[in-house]
Amino acid sequence: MSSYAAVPAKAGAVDWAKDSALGWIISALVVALLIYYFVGVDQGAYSLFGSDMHIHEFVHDSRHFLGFPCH
Amino acid sequence: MIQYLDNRRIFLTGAISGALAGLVAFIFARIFAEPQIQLAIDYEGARDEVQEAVDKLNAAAGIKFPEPGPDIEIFSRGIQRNIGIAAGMVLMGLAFGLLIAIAFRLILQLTEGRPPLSGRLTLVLIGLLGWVVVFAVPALKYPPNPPAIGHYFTIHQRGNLYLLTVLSSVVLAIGAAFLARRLAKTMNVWTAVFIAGAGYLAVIGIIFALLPNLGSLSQNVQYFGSSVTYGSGDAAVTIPVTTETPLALRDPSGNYLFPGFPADVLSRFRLYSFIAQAILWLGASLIMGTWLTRVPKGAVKHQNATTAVGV
Repeated sequence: MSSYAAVPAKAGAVDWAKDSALGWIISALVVALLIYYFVGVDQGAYSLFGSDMHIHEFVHDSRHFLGFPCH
Repeated sequence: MIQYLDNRRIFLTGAISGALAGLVAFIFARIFAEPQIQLAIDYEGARDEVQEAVDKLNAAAGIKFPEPGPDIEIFSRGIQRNIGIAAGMVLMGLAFGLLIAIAFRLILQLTEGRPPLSGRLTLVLIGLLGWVVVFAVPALKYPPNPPAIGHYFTIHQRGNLYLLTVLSSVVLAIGAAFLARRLAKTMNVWTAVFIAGAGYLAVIGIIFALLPNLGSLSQNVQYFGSSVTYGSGDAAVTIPVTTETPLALRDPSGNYLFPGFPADVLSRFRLYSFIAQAILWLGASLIMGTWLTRVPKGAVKHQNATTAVGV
């Protein structure tokens, strides 16, 4: 069993129950979902920028290889 | 050993570990997947020429057929198979690394910094579950396909169906985790996780049974029928069409003009795709575990903390 603690008080952090990570978690989730969407989905099933295909064509091979429906 | 972590370190390590795993996955893809992708693209090109001739015959015979899809070439194959796929893999790795960091941070929160397993083992389990839940299970219903497979006129439906499987799998897995936590109050953890896992599999199995096969989408049935018969007389075999994998191309009188998609190219592409996703998820979590469990220079050892076995 390991145990973890927040950075000591000197560094300005507090214990887990009080140290809110909500901002970090939400930011990380938004970034992850944006990447997932733009690498995997945009300009395929959905398109945020009309019929432009630059992103789709650039990441084309990885979209196929990561298992997304491509075209 | 007690370790000092802060949010910044957890999330940045997650992002960097994920991007590194993405780099490894790119190298794997460049060596193993790209030759298969090129074969698929070459197959498509050769088939399209024959298809054009068949389309003319079909038009003359009054048989309905789908218009050929748009031919787009913005980036050369050289860009797509090098920098393009590298960007895609590294970015997706970074995204997965962030998801792993979120899960790890939530576990630290729920256990008040004392996860029942070591930090490394916790991270590896998160990576394994990410691979299973976000990729492997959805891919059992709608597996990855190389170029040449997938009709452009069903992309919207296919996209929605795939995202629906990913979303159901993720939501059900989170539900299963809560169920396991609740059950663990009245029974041992192993049994609780076993029951919750079985519940996840049962429900996702029902959802998959209800979702249509791609070959059964109405436009596909309209153009390609729901089954195909090879041979004639007593020896004829009828095979249901459940996917969009190109079958042998025939002219209106039934003569074979072009073979179906090569099975080995497809199976290798899919196998490599499963491996690449494992590299992303497990690689990200292994690298992250290695870095996070290193005590940074200058960290103050907390003398009063409970001693615990190191990772």
